Amino acid sequence: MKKIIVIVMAIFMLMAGITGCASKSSDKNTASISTSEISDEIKKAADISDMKTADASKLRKLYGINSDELDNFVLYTAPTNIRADEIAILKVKESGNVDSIKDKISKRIDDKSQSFKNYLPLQYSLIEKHVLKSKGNFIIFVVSKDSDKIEDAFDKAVK
Amino acid sequence: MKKKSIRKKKFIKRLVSLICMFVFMTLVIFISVNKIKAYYSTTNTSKKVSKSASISNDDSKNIKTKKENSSDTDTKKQKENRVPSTNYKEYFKKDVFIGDSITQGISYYEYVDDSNVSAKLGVNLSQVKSLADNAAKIKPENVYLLLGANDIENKDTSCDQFVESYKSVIDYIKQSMPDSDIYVQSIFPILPKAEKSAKGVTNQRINEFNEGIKSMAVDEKINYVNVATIFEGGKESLYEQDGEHIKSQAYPLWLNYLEQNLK
Repeated sequence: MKKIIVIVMAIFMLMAGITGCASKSSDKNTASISTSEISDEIKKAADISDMKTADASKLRKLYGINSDELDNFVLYTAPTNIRADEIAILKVKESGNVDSIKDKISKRIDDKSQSFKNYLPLQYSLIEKHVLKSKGNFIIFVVSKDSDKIEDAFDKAVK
Repeated sequence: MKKKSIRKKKFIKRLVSLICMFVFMTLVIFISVNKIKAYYSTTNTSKKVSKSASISNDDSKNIKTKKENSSDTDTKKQKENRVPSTNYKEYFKKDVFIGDSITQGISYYEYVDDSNVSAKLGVNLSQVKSLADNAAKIKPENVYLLLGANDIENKDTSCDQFVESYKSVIDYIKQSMPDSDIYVQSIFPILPKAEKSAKGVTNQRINEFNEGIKSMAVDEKINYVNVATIFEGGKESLYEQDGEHIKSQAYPLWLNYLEQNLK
């Protein structure tokens, strides 16, 4: 009987250990992170304190993206119309919609480029080195002098 | 021997059933832990995105001046003494502002709706026709033009040439919007630090061009509004870093001036 107990306890502890490890890896599961948490990580990496936080109506106005297609999002716009910086972090509900939403962001990039191209070369160069990428259901769009740092923060937050 | 094998079999059976029980318990714990985590992550994602910090046309602060009462019987003096309405979206809802980046700020900073602004960054007089076409869509009551800030960047443009180009813009607007009242506004001064005398971008030249706009308005029988006066004196706090564009908080001064000085 003792033998049985010892063997079974050993197996139980093994299972518990595996379960524990599995739970830990699910903490970093992309499904559980939110865009506001990604935004917090970005704020640690770059100073975006002078940017304006924008709402769903701005998201629709600037990108033609309906917030109903998203689980959650964070949008930052420039504090003046003569600056091109902008950050959009989106979590798309249906993974099948990621590409069409990226297309809408591409249109926004074209519009911004048109505005700044022959007017403010420095701002135009920021638009040219923009970041637009997706990871799973997450999309990030960045126009910023710190676009590299912001992209790194996004990559670290979304595994 | 038989007893031993029976005992062995029983032992194996018990072992297997105990293992199965523990595996089952482990799975149950695993699934419920994940479900709890999923529950907490959905409550996190329901956090609201904070609203944009737009400088408000707050209705609760609105001191209403009824436009319906500002009829032809009102004298200009009475208008100037009246407290302007801060509900610019309402006051200017039938009008269109046409211009460059400075005009674009009126809708960018949400003082009026997008449909009441037709503007493009860096626009000069040769590029206004498409802006006028856009403005004509809403058949505006009043059209407010603020142009010239980008034209003075070209030091080879004389005041006469500038006025001639402006006249053809006015003629185009008169044709495309025959029922609209046209207001031309004086070019805003720039801060001394933004002057580039080698390029002809100076307040002296701006003043010269404004005199040209003023006499053009008389010739064209349209209205001249000297908005630039409110920015005279180099008030640094009203300007962006570049010394050429006005800050968001300067826009109410502009819009209030219009309300008090339109005919």
